Amino acid sequence: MIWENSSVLVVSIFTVIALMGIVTILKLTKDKTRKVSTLRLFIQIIATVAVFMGLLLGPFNTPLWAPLGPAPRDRLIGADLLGDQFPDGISVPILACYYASGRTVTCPIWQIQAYIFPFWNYSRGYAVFYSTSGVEKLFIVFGLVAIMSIVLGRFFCGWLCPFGLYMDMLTRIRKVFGKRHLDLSDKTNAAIGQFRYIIIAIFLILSVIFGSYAIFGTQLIPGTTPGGPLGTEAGIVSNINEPFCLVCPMRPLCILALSATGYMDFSYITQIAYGPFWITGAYLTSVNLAILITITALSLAYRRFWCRICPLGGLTALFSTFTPFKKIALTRLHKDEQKCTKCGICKRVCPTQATQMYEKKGGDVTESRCMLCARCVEMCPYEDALSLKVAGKKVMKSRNWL
Amino acid sequence: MGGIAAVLLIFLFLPHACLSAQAQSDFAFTPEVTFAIPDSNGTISYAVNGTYSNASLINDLWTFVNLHLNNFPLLEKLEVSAQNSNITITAYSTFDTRFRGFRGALLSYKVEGAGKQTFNMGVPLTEGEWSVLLEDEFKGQGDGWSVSPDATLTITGAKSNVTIWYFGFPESFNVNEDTNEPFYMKHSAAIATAATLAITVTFAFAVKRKNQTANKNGFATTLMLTRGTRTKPGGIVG
Repeated sequence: MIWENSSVLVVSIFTVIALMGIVTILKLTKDKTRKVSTLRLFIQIIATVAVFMGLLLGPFNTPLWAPLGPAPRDRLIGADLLGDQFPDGISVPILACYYASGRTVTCPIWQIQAYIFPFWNYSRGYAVFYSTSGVEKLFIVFGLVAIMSIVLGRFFCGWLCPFGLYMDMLTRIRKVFGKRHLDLSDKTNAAIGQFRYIIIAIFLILSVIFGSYAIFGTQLIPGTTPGGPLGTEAGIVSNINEPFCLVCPMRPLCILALSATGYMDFSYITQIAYGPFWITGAYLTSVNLAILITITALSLAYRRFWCRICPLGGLTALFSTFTPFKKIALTRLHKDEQKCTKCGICKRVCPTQATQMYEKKGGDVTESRCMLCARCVEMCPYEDALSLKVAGKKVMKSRNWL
Repeated sequence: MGGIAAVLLIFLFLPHACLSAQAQSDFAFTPEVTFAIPDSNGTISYAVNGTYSNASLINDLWTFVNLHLNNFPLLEKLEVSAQNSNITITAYSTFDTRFRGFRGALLSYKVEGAGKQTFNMGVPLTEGEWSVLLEDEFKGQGDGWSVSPDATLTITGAKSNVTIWYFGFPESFNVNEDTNEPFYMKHSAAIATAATLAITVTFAFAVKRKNQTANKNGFATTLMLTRGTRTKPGGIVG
């Protein structure tokens, strides 16, 4: 019987709940200015559960000899299918943190950094064997991100990213307290949007520097030689080889949330480095926590603050809003110039302060800051002035709600 | 804003604070504390402060339960014995099962006296490999160390520094090293990605072209309508 397999049962129940929820929201939500937001919130929650579905699927009650208590349990989609060629799971352009328990897909930023750093073999301290080269794995990561970005663009950021949900929850909390959000100036907002690409560049260069011994045979940073007298250097090196993850706010958030609910042991938060490198580890962890706190505070004040500087969002935008991908990207925000009255509501409600849908005359108004959250489409009071199109077909359009 | 952030962080940190308070019921020790084995003329100590929930000496074997050295992860169980030697455990670390069932462990110690030491970290023996570094030199099994069927490691050739590594893989783990496999099988993931990317780009391009054509037609119609209105007010577009 299929129902004897608990994983199938859990996934089936989850799918039914997801579909019923979507249909219910579409049918029952009458408020035209809330319908898309409510649907989006529901899909964000569903997506977050799906990303960490491994927590629901188990395996449960498996005796773990690992000493850190509840250990990460991955249920990576596609890992079995792709085998040793790509064992870290399908790359999906959302912050599906590599360090968290139960994830089903993997953050491409981690993969890009890890595969630049050819530090992954048995003799150097970790034991994931790859039958493919780093270049081939990088091709797969970029290929997957490109495919998904061409099809859905930054829809991943707006509707599916778990960290996006966290920031949207912060916005809702702020609203409960009756505080109004702050806005960055257009100039500053545009500048920090460009900063995303600088962040990507910096951390990729750092990955290469930390992995210099393995890549070039030259140690650019002292102490980054694998092995060593106590064999412990490998521990720290193979963690700092993903430097962005050491500053990404998603990592501590996941570990805090999962350890608070008993799915992980809190010691994982300091697992960046331990033993003789515990001081380094403590510093790195402190920096990581400080960044989470800072981003949390900033996201309370400014809507979706992290999304404005997120390098993963930048990468997705690269494959969907910049030439040549811009010409073929399938999910686009469209404006009908004839129906727009320049009222400016779209600009005011945009959580990342995108401006093209207001400033551009008409046609495709998707830009790299736009997360395709469709808040502008929802709030635009003019029938069909703004619409969200997938493969040229309107899937959502503005309604006259006045 | 700061207040809200503080509330959020308290929610995230509170459970951990409670857990830390709970852990204080363990027994604490310092580097000065030695765990003696009088019948074997040996002692065990640790290089840093730590705690354990239970420690017992049975048959000249010290068993530490929930051992937690400062700045090191928790070790559920460690069995140590020292014969005619005094050892100081300086470091240990373990790797979990994150990587498709991979398990790994490390333990290093300093020793005084040319005696014998045994360790058992609860690591399953059947699926892994051991490496022992004696005085900064990797030694093969039988050359100063051996491992018994119950995964107890016995070191006899230690003089000052010892590091023990364990790497374990599940039996199902099978690295694809079949050189006779055809190219398309060896690189099937990359080929599938490339094919999907090509199909996506082609499809997207075709959709775009179709839409552009439709838009041009629509634009022409609009243009005709506009011109018609201008030239023939109230007239029918012809």
